[in-house]
Amino acid sequence: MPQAKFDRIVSCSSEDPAYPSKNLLLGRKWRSKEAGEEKETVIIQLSEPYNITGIDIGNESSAFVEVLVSRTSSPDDFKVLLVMSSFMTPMDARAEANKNRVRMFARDSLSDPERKEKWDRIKVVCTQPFNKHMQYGLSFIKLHTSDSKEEPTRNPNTPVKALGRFTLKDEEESDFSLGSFFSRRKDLQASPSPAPAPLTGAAAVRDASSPANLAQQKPPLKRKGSDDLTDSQKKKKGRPKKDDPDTSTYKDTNDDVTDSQKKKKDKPKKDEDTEAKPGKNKSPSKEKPKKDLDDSNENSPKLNIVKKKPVSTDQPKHRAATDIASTSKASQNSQKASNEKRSHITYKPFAKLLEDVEIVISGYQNPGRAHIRDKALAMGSKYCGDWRSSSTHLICAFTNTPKLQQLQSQGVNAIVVSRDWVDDCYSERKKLPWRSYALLDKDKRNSGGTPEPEVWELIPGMDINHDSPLPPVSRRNNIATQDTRLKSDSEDSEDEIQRIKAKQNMQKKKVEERKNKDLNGSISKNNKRSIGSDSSDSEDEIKRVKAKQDLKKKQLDDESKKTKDLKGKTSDDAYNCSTDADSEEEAKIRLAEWSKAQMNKSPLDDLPPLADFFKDKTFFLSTELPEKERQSLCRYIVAFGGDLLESEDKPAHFIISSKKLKLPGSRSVCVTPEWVWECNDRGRLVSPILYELI
Amino acid sequence: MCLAVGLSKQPSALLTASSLVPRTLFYEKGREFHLAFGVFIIMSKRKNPATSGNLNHDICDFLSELANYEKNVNRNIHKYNAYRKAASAIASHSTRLTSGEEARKLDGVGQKISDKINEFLSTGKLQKLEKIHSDDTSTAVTLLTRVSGIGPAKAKELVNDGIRSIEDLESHKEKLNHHQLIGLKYFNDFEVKIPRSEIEEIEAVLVKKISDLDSDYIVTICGSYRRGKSESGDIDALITHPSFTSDVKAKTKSHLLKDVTKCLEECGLICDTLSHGDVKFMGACRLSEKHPVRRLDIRLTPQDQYWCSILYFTGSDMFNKEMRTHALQKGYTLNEYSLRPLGSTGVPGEPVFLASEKDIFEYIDYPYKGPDERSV
Repeated sequence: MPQAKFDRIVSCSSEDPAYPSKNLLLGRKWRSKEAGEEKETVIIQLSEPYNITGIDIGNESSAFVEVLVSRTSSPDDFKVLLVMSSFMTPMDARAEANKNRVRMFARDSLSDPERKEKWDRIKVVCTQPFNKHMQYGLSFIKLHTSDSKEEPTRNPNTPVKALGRFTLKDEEESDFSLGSFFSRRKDLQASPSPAPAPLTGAAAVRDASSPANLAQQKPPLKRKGSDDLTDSQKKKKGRPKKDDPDTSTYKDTNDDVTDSQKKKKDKPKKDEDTEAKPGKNKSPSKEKPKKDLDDSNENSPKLNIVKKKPVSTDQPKHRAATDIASTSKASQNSQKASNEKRSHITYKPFAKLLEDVEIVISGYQNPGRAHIRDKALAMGSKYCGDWRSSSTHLICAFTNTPKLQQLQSQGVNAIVVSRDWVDDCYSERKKLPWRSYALLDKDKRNSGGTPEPEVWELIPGMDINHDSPLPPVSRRNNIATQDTRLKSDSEDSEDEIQRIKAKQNMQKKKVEERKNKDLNGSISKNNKRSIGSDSSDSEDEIKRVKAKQDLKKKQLDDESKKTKDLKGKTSDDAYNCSTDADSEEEAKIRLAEWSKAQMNKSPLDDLPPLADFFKDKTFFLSTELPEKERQSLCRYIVAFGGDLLESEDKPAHFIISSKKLKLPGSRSVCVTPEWVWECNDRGRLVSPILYELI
Repeated sequence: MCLAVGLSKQPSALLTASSLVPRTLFYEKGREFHLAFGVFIIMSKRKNPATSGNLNHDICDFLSELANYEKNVNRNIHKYNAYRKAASAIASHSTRLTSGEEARKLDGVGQKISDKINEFLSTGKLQKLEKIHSDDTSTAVTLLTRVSGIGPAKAKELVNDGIRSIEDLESHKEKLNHHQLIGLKYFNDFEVKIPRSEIEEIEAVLVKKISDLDSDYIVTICGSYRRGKSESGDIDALITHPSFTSDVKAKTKSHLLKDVTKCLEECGLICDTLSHGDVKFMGACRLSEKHPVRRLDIRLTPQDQYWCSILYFTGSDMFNKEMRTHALQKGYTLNEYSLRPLGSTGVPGEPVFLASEKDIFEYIDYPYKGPDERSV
């Protein structure tokens, strides 16, 4: 859904000079000047009349927020669009807790005649009757509209799906067809520097609560989308091979069982998704043992990895792009994907890379200080000696410089990075995501979350309208390894540890959950799960290699057995079983498939960092769940950024239980564990409606 | 003090309660009986212990009687409200009134009522009341309205058909509907107050049976019982179930109430049903053969409206009125379903989330009062 553009602030009852009302135009915080006012209002002029079909509100200490609308023709005739809605309870307000709740109001929750008409002015009324010692206002407000030229298909007829206080993103097509990734790629190049899209959905939620929020609006990074890219790509390359009986090692031997063949086609596909990934990001050193063990095997993953580099860098894209053009679905998907991708990377001349950045330097002494400043200025950054409201980045030498301490004590959400960020941006000639350079642990921890947009250098003469907009090889590689580096930089961060834990657990879990899952489910669903199979775990690798050696010996003998197994199991879940949790034979089958997948795998696939779609949500695990299940749930939830509550005293957003718990008046959504698995499958927050216990 | 304030959406709530008149559950349809003066006094003494310390109770009594006359016979709800308002104001007056002029200073007492008070104080009786008492039609109507299920309209219709007494009713049962027949059947039982101890026993049975059925039910007996009164006019049980919330259609959850009533019928507590809808059961129950039959209402409320319902059905009516007035002053609107903040244009907002009865007090910044402190 497109968003209404704000034109200007018409008036506001009062504003804190540090958080003026005009901040709202930029999606930032507005706060009253004084605490204890009866109510605070702000009137915003929209750029044109809009039919408002959804409102997202990020709160800033207000207890209630109301949204009214009017037209310039009769500016004082305000009609209620969103009735007074609660954002804080009296208890919250007194404890000054939950000050930044975000609520998303779908069309259904807006007043009836008003939501059908067009308005060009809104008035937001905030009140905080419960605590007279807090300044209050809004963190942000976004209006979704139905007036869309670009997206005529998504109009008011498809209201935002709201789930409690979260609005769900539209379901993305999980079935990506052949090569759609490449065609997206092409689209991406066609429009190299789009304006960063405003945050939507979960991204906005995340953003609102993220401390590092002073920066410009970040484009929504649709994690899922980017995963699907790699997924479809893999499929594209993997499938022809599998379908071809000549190249299929085991299919030949079982051609009597057509049924199993058919299933197998599906199976390797998924298998590949999960199995292929571990290999993808492996650093050469970790790959070594395998290399030694089976470099004779053509199907060996190692070979793929070797291949990967050259393939990844240049030729594959265009070739693929032509391939895909054949399927119409692919082009649809690709368009969608390119939109996503576009918001992710933008191009700017070198001198403007950091044009929306204003740096403040702290803790560095000359001549280093001058170097930092010069580099930043060369990339278009502004510089200020002391922090002011327009400053965005604090380039900081260590965590207890006076400037940083001052900012922290004022609660300013500055982006605090080390000088390496400036240096690397300068040497790599692009604006890098800052989180991997974050100085503060809390910022680093978010690294699994919203990746930031990258701004690449627009090289003069670069043909962005055609297919060569890719930056030079060296840069590309750099981008490709971005995530990996993020991880390795914060090797011992909590995130990393959680990821590994989650991974081990996930692999076991997969086996079980798969049983309940429909095979027809989205093909890409395994992406997310496979995130857990982190590349850094070499144990796995070794096992796999060993299994492979066995396989080589037994391969022929096992063929028929395998087919039988497959026949029996494909419909549930043989494919995603992890090697260590499986029977030897299954492992081998998978291994064979995996190796093939590796052969065909595109080098562009990168292991994405763990999604954190549970971020800022609290969970309570019902005690009646079996201990084993509780543990796995615990790991998953923590891995995806959720907070687990130890007791039921505090209301959790979600209660995971096998049976509806009796908590009268509780706001918690009581869901079955399946919901967590489904979220995991989809790699994002899915509606708990189907999983809700009633 | 206007009785209608805050209750206007519940016409039935207007019909009975005041601090003066019988302290039945105020939302319950009125069943005051003022057939003859003697009867009235007996009734009023029995039903209105709270006014025992009232120095002006005789004045209040005649005003209440006039009120009920206006409601039942003339069916003029506004006059009824006016008399009740005056009666309530006089009841809370701390000194004995000596003249109508003195009464006039009170809120709700106007020229005509002050005249009547003067007349009553000087002569000891009231012309208008005498007239009413001597009028067969009025007395018959008032009598018939004492039967559960018979209201002023039905009573008038019956009187026009020549039915003037309970005995007449017995011989013309074809004119009565199911509810009225049962009201007639238990006419005497229903007029007897229920001692607290008996409600306690009934409550124990209710809670036991219902939680055996499904431990997720929550049962609360509201009304004057919850306010700690020693006797009540009927029993009003409020139940909720976590699966029933305001966004669920009551129709789809009607089994929740049906299961409960079925179970209570099977165990012999419920002996008759007056009416049974998706969310409200009205009927009769008895603890054992030795006990009189009692009026029992069971209401199923959505879980998210439970606290507002409890507050409302616990009363008292005057307390609710006070609460609602206070809520309005604080910018909220309170009813038996929800507490909602009022927007800048007066449009009620979304219902606030409540986790307890206390939360309501907290939102509207009203000092918390336990149920037994609400018998205003």
